[in-house]
Amino acid sequence: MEISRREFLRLLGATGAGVSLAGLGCDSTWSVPDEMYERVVGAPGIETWKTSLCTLCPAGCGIKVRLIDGIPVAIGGNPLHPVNRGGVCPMANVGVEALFNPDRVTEPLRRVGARGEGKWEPVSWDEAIETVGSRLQGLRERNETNRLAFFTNHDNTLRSDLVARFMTAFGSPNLCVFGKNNASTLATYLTQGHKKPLSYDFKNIKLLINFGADFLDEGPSPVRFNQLYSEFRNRGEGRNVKIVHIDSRCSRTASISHEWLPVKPGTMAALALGIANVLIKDGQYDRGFVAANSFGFTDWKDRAGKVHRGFKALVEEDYYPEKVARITEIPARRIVELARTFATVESALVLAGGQAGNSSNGLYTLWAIECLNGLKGNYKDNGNISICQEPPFTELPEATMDEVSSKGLSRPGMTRSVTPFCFPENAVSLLPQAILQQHPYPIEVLFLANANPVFSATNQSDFVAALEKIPFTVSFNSFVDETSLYADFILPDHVFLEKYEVVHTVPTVPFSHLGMQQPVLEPLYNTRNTGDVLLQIARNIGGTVASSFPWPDYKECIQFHLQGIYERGAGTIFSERMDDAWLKFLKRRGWQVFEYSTFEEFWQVLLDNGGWWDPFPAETDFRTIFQTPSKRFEFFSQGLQREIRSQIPGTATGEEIRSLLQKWKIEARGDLAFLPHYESTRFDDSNPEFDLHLLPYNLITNIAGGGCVLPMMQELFGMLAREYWGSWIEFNPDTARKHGISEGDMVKVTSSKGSLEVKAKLLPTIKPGVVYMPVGLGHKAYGRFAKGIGVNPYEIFFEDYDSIGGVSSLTSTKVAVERIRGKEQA
Amino acid sequence: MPRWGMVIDLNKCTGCGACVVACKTELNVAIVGPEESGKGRTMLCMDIFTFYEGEFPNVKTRHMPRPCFHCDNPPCTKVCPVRATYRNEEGLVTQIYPQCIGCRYCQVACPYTVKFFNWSKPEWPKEMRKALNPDVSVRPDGVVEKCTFCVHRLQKAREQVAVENRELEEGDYVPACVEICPTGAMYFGDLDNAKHAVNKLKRSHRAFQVMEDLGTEPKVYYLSEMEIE
Repeated sequence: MEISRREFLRLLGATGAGVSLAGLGCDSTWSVPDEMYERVVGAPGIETWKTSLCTLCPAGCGIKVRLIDGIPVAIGGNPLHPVNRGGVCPMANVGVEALFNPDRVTEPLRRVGARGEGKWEPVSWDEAIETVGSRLQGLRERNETNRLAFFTNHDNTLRSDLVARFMTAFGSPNLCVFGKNNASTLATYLTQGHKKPLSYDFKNIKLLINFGADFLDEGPSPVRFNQLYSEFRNRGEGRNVKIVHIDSRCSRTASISHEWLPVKPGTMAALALGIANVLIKDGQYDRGFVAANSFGFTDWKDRAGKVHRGFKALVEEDYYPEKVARITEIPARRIVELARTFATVESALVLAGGQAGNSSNGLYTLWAIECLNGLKGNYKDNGNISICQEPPFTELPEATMDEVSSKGLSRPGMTRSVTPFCFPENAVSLLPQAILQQHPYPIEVLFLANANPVFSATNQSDFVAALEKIPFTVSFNSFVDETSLYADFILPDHVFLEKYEVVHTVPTVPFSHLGMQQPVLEPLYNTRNTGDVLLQIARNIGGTVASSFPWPDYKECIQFHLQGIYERGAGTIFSERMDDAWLKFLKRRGWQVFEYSTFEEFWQVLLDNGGWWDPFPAETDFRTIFQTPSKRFEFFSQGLQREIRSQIPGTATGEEIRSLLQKWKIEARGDLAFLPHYESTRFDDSNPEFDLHLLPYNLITNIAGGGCVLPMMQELFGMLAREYWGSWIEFNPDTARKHGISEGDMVKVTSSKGSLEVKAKLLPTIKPGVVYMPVGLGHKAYGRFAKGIGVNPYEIFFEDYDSIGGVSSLTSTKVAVERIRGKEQA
Repeated sequence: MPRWGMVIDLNKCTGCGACVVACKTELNVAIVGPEESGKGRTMLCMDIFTFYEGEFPNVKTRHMPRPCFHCDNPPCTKVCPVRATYRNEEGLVTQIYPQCIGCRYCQVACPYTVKFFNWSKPEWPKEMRKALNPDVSVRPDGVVEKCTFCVHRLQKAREQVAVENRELEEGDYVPACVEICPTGAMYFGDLDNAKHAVNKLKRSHRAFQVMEDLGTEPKVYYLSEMEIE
């Protein structure tokens, strides 16, 4: 609503406020304070609601935005969205603060100062895109398209699919995805032979054993898991799900569970195998499933007639409860009890995450845990585990490639050349090494989209060095984060309330679904959707790169994808919750819940309701999910055997395999290396004075790092711990006493990488000998609300990697603590 | 006359904190910043208490969301020298900010520590002021504030039902914290109305009030956690 100057003065005059203007600190008689102006402009106060999606974290919850005169003021959950069912987390609730954050990048920027200095000058979009395009054009002319790298995060969006397509069409193998839960993908790969995310059906379960996954505070969808955990406890007499949580810290997830087993860090594999031992000894596993659909359970003969050790023999010999109790520091009695409960309930599920995957033996650990699901026969038809189904998007023709792109794409990826590991695509943390050595080739252009390794990697200083070496870096962020500080150009993206996006196939969700994000207001600043910018860049390059992206803008690209769903008539647009039977009835007769006769109408209904889902996916034979060499669930991984052989030219001799295992720092030899086993965890043993394990944990106020631009989330960062705007370190009271530390003291935490000063908290929810720090604070950039608040524990994390997967190990750090001063002097 | 009250099911609550944040945004409660927070001046009209029972390794953590209890016999209103806080006819303990002289007697009198003092004028960056809730005034400095059970929503609901020419029903008036709760752990309604869920729930065998023995007659009931069978 526009108000003329004359009208405005009349309004002021009427309220007699004109006299008091000077008193409000105005320098001239005629200037009007912004606050007042806003109040007058906001007068009609018309309330509207718009449906969209929150993408502050990868979960992509459906939201309803409350707008007053077109200005968003609050965000609530979209009750129609089947994943978050009307709930939102604290972060989404204050999402408008990201929109109005005064430190957003408001226009394209070009670096003028030194790298990392943070000095920029504005530049026009045309000029920026032109410069970026000519750099890429240069790479193509020199036939070196592989010298482009793209660092992105994993966020379940259509944009990440577009980025992958862009890299293929352009011809570079260097798409590096950060933050993806790679270790669990690999565990799936070893046991089931595919790398797709798994979905879990909790409908019938009676017991949930959770190995370290802090589902209530971090991905894949915290809101959904808060609801699920709550539901597990309230299904009604006799139908409740018993939840057992295994971790070294009693996280919020553990506190909602019925039992918490404080395991020694890095020993979860032994515990899982200990449970397997009891199951096998009692004969209480799913014999039918194991006999018919698994491989390597019992001893087996290969083609040459050589006998190999099976899972059963290994577990029976090596993982009896008393031994496991010594390793894990959990009493044997409790292991047996848990195993017997697990064996006897009709339906039980085992999940893993967090510490389980992020350690030097992470892959073996997740693998051992996955085997418990195998023993329980959770993969059967109507079982508890299946693969996440993607929505039936329009099938895209493969990206077209000319000679230049095909050549570029056929070059080895950067990670492949430096990582000693078996699955190099996961070892993104080793990229700096490759970039600095320029081996096998230098990276000349780097694109950054929401990946922030300079903050979140354990080798952040290496990333800084690598970024300084890359001649040309472009960041597609809405904010200047630590990594973007080293960029040459910042091409700002919209904030989630200003753009179109699709989030689909969130891991663990047992039905295919997609959520629609739509702009709830015009972009506030001169920003552009990264999808649009990529399409523009592709067009500028021309040739086959341009023809791979035939859409004029990103919205049309989304519509193209959705056309397939519209035409196939599969599933349904989100609707009021209906009885399942009723929905099924409608579906069988080919009826839709909503009426639409054209795609345009379909699109509008889709936007209004927030998305699409298919509550009744086509039933598939469960056997088809096993794509391992044996086409069965593999206890003994022939897949791993094959991967290892592929790394050795010619036929591998035992000697060569041994030396490869040695290179990966795996202790096991022979068959044991291909079976899930407990590999003792490597810790930083450089200094005997480092006597405590330091582990990180996440909070719901900073899921996937998204909370740092929201001042409310920074203030309430540790609302349960009553720590606001600051970091802390958690001790068991026993540990603290031994180190002479009391509640509230300032302590110095020293590792081999450096030291931090932080406030101590004493909690009985931490295992003695272990200390925990929350992550998400300690930014050096990201605007006024983030910069200089708290400390970043990753700065002092010891750098080590999972032996096979190459994922950063976050359990290997050891620290010494020292009291600096007491609370009263703090 | 309705008697508004709340029931919080601790067996459903996961301590996610959505209520705390929804409350702060709904009521335009100040973000005080690191320095003031360090002095213990963080303002939370809705708060979550965390209790630890037992010792390692047999420790039980309990979360307990805490709004204002809107006591039927409130200690805070009795000490106010200027009647800036009083219990209205529907049982809501309300605040009149312009009348408050900032003596903070009520803050001391409240046994549940629900009251906060605005030590300085709440400030937001210019851009963010647009995103304040226009239904609730921003407080000046020097006044005490607390949870209002989102009484502004009651006013709006009243207007709405008047337009629609009907009676106020359950669900017409719900505070922001209850509305946002992703696990459905919070219930709100008329405690005296048999049609409302809270009326039944407050009589559950799991129901309890906090420090009932003080005679404050709080209108917030909790349902205790259940053990697994």
